[in-house]
Amino acid sequence: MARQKRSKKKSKHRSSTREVQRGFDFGDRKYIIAVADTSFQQALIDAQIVACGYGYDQPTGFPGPIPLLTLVATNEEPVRQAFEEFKRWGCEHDGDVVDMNLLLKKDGTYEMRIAPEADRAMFRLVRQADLYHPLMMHAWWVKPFDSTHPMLRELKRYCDSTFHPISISAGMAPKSGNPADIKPIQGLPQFIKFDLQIVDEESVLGDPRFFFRNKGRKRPRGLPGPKLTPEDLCLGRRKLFDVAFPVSRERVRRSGLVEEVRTFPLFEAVSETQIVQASINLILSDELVGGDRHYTKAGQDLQTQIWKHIDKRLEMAVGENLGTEIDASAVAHQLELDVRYALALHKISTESKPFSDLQERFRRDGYIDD
Amino acid sequence: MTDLWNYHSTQDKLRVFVSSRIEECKAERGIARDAISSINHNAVLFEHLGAKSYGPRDLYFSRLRDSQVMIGIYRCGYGFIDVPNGMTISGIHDEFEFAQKNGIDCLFYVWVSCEQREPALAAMVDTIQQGPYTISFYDDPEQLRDRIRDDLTALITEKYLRTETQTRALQEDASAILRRAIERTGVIVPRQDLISKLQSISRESSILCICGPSGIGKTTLAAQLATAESAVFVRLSGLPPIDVFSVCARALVGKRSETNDDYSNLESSRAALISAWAAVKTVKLVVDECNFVDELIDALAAGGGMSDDKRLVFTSRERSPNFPNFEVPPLTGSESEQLIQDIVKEKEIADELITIGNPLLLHHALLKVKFGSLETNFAEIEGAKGELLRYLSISSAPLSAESLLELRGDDSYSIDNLYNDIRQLGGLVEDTNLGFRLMHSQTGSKVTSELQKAPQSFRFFTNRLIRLFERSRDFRRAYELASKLEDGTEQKYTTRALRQALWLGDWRFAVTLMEQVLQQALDTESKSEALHLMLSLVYPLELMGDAERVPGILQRAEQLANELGESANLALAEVRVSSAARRGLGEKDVEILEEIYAEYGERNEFWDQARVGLELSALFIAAKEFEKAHDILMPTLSTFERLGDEYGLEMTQLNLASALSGIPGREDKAEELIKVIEARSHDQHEFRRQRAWLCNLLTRRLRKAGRYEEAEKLAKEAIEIGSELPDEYVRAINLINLGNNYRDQDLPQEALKAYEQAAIAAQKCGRRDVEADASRLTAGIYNDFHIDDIHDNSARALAYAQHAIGLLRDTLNHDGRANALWEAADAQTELGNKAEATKAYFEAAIEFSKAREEDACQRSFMAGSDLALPDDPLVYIECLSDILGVPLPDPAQQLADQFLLLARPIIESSPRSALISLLSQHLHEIWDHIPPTMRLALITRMLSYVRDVAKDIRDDESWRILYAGIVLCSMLKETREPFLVSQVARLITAHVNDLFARQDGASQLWTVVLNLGRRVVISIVSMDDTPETALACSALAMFLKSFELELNRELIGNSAALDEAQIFIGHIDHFPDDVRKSIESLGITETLQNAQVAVTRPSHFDKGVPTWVVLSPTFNEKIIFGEGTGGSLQMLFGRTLTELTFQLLKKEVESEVIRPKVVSLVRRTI
Repeated sequence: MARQKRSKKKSKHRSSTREVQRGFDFGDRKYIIAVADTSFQQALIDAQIVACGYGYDQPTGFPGPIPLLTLVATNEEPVRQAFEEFKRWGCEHDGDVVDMNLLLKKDGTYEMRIAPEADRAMFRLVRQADLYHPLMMHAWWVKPFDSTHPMLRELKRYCDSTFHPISISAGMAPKSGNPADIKPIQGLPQFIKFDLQIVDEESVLGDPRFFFRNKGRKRPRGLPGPKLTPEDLCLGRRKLFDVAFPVSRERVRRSGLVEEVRTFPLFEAVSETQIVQASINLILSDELVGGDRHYTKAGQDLQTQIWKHIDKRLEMAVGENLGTEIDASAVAHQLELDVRYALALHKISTESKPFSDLQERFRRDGYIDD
Repeated sequence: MTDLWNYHSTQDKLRVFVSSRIEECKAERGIARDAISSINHNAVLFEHLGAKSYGPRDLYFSRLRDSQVMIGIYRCGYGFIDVPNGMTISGIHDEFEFAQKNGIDCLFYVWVSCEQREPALAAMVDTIQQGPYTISFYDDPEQLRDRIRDDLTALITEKYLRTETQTRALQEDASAILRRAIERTGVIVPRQDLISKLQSISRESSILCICGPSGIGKTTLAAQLATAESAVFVRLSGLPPIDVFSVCARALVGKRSETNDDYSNLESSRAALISAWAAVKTVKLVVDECNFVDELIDALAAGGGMSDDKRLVFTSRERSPNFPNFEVPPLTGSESEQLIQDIVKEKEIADELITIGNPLLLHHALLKVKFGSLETNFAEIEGAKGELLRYLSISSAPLSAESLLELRGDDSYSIDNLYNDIRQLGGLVEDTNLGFRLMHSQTGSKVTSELQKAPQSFRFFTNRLIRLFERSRDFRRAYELASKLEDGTEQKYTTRALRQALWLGDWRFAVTLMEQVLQQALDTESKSEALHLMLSLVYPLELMGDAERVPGILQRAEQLANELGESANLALAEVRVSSAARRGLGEKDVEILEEIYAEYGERNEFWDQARVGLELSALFIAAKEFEKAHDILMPTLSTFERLGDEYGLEMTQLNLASALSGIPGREDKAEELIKVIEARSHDQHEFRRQRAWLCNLLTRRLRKAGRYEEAEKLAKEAIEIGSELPDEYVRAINLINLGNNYRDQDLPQEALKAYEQAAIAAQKCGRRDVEADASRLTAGIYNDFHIDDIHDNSARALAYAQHAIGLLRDTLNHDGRANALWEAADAQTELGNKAEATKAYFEAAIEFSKAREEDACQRSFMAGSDLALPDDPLVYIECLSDILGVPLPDPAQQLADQFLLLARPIIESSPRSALISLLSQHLHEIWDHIPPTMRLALITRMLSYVRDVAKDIRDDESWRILYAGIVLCSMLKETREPFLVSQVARLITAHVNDLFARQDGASQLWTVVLNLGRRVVISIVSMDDTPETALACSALAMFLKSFELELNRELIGNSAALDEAQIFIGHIDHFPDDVRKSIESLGITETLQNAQVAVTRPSHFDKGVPTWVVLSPTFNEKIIFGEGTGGSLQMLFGRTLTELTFQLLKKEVESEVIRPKVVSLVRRTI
């Protein structure tokens, strides 16, 4: 009997060692790239905007006339398409969803630029942007014009006041060439911009928003590099806990786990964040595969699974405590796995190195800041 | 350590140190303490010091140094000699020697029945018996009760109240002077033209100096002027400032012989003069021979100064550099003729005398003629009259008949002989009420200089005088005379003379002596004494208006303190801060005082720490910071208890009872303490003081309960006690109580009278805060009541309010200043001065904020805004810019732009209690004046401002971002776009700890962690994607976090019974079916017809059940901000908060209990 038992135990032990225990660092957040629709750009190109008209408009809801900026096009239909796109962005409620600026150049010419406003576009495109490292890709339509009309200067002064609504519209280029003969395009969605920027070239020198076409400027390729720094990891971890695990974090604090883990030899100086992270990893491991610990039974693409899970998982305060499966020794073990994971992200070899050395390096190199 | 604070209520009291063996003389000590208290002075006793770690010697000396009188009571034992600490004598002997060295007045009582007195004590008693001390023997301790009281009363009356000296000085009025002049020469030269000229000049200037050389006739002329103009005349020859002030005060109020108003220290006598000067409407004060004219003028200035109706004329040998002078001319030939015509018959001599011109010299010449010839030298006058003349010449002070007889030391020389000799000296000697003195000091100088030619003779007369003054414990005079001997004898009087000079306010003499002390201070102990004396000089200098010298003294003290170490530096720091305090206690000073408090604690000097703690508590109470006062008084109480310092204990208990009475909900504790204090009152006199204090507390309570008759009775009783004690502070505060009682009964005239008397009493005891209270309350009466026959109510109210504001400028009393500013604002409003009124309201708001009167702060801002905004927004902008300390926006800008420019400073610097309401109202003004189509731009701009502010905000100020977030939420009511709501959420959560939001498009999940005794996690979950729900979730989360402290303090009280709670918010048609049905069955639909929010309540609270918040479709539409009325957000906050409270407490609370608190919290929002 005794031999049999020993044999069973041995067998179980062998079995568990075959399963790979894994750590995870929530600072290693997922990149998500939002790509805005660029059809407005093509539509404006197709519209062949030849000029910009300046006048006054009396839109509904304004006590008096306000400046009117008219895109003078050669082709009507693409203009309509562009404005329909603006409408989809929400320009009728908030004209500033359309980012628009005019760059007055030293040579007397100027450029008009139009794009979706980045923050609003991100909000429309990525529902839970705070969970990730979101990146935005969108196109600008840029149109150079040969000469700066004096009214543009006047419009610039107008834009210096706190409230400077400007009505944006479009019209057809007159064959006569006389601006008075510009024919408004009827039925376009009306929109009023409040933050139209008219800037002099010299006042924005070096500002990449205005000089991204400059020759010789290095354009970023691929995901922003270099790899996440330890500080980035700290920041990302904290941010994710705030957004996705604020209740669990409080439960860990309440449970006494922090103090308990620190009573273990070599764990005296671990940070609260590490203990919280390890506890959350144990919770998620169990949620991904019932009864699992240390992600042993999760699939190969652990990171994808975790992010997918977090995306759907909502934490609410319901008066629960931490699950009974979370004990201090499991947390300590997970914590060690997490440290190895984070260091491995930076190609730091952790094999055969004792936890105490790794933890010391972890703290020394700024992977934890609490 | 010297107790240097003088703004406490016991400033008229003297400190009497009791020196005796604690156990052996236990009964005597108790009796002594009662006897001292019975005549309204403070007994200084320590009962349990020996067993404590605190160095007893340091403590004894610090309190003995600070005492004016020492009572020594001895039985048989000499006491322990602390040899290990280098002592060779016992504690009581040490104290006796210290008192001797420092000139502390002593009374000794020795138990006569002792059979075996320890030899060392017996020797000490012998020494005492041989010295100039009052020593009595007793066999039953009970005999001491009356004896100590009587001896002490006599000593204090003579030495400290100086009643006799002052009364005698007052008897030297103009008529007495002129009468003596006639007696002296038989005639007064009329000099009518001169008097008319003087009258004419004195009418041109409110201060005039009558100047001229000695003997020219200034005194006579001044007396003649006073007589001609019915002016108040006082002759102040040789009097120190304490007497100068008291004598002038009594003369001004016409009390030349009565002695009811005695002022036992410099401060109270000066206050009496200030008060007397302020009270008279028309007066000309003629002051002769005053050595402290600048100090006198400074005090009169404090009492309102000189004017056409209040004039000052003084005499001086030197021309005044600051004021117009009237130089007294010599006698004309015909005037001289009038004087000599009956005395000198020989024409030749008469012709020579006529050329002299100076009346004194003429008089001297006449005397010489009388004694023999014009060449006669006074110093050569022989016999008894020569001896008398020499004493009078050497002594700078008048000498009484008793003193002269004692100096003569001849038993056969009678009073008749004395008067006979004085008569023979003719007009050389004057018999004044203060004693015999030479007619003119110039005579004395001449005689003295002649006498100094025979050093032995000079030394003989001088030494006899020194001993006389030493016996009468007039160390100033003793020092003065000893220094004339130029042999260092004066050194043994230096310390004693300095202490005396400080007490009398003779700072010039004190400064001179200080130099001596510093030169003599070579070892550590004497340097330490020198430092203490130097620091003691600071207060009199400031009081006498010579504050410029103080920095120099403090600088030198600093050098000395650096040599002596940390203890000395701490003492110096205390003096510095009290020096600052007298100019008006600012917050910085309190911080320094708190640091000193902590420093004493770190050094284990607990008695000093407790003493400073007591002072701090008094300041906190005066500033209505009752919680802080309470917090500091608790350890103070235990220290005094431990050390057995009964006086400290008593004061601490009184302050603690006052502090507790001011803390809502702690009245019961106050009552308990009151009973303890009452029970301890064993003496009739002390009982009355306690009674007055008790009446004060009870009056306020009865008045608030509407029991006016009882309140009035108690207030009057306390005032009566205050008069009897006498204690002007007790009178002042109870007169204010009485006035308040009248005010609350709509009896304005009576209230005004009470406040006026309170102000006068407060002035007398130097309590600026109480005087300011009286003044501010007077302003309130003029503002709030129509009073018959008064047509300039508002102007009067303004004047009184401004007086109060001035009194409290730069002080810690923010509450008093805020209330005074409020009254000023009310008055300005009535007077039509809108700009001034608005500014005053805003200033009041800032002061209320400092006083942590949050509701009042908010009210003041609103009052200012309401006044200016409707019709005069530019005034509003100007006042707001001013109060926020930002430049006035360019008037050329659009008004909306000007308003918007101020929004950021409001977020950055307005007080916590007012930020939300002020910002709401401010933005609402823009909101209302721009087209609705531009409101989104306003919100976007505000969001960008808040974002900018957030970049530089300190962690402890992150509430500013949170509060601005609530306002932003309320402004989002018209937008259907969830983007801006999400931006606000991101901004706020990025800067506020323990507030988190997870956003999924328009849907929001907020997590709020509240510190309610435990960390409570609350989830706020949106049930749909509508803008209303997003806005409601955000605003509620921010509200709960914003008012976390108040929520805990006012509703939860650290008693949260849950760790987690849930709140679901949304429109009901988005709720899960089962929930919706369940909620609808509760009649929610009907509720929402009349309300914008409905909140569920579970039937029991045992298990955490979510709270469901149902929004009406018109929720956003009904949001109101910045208009002073409630809307749907307020309803959301109020209803959810109520339910959340029930959840957290796991029980329902009665509506009448919870509702006011919830309403109060919600009112602080938009």
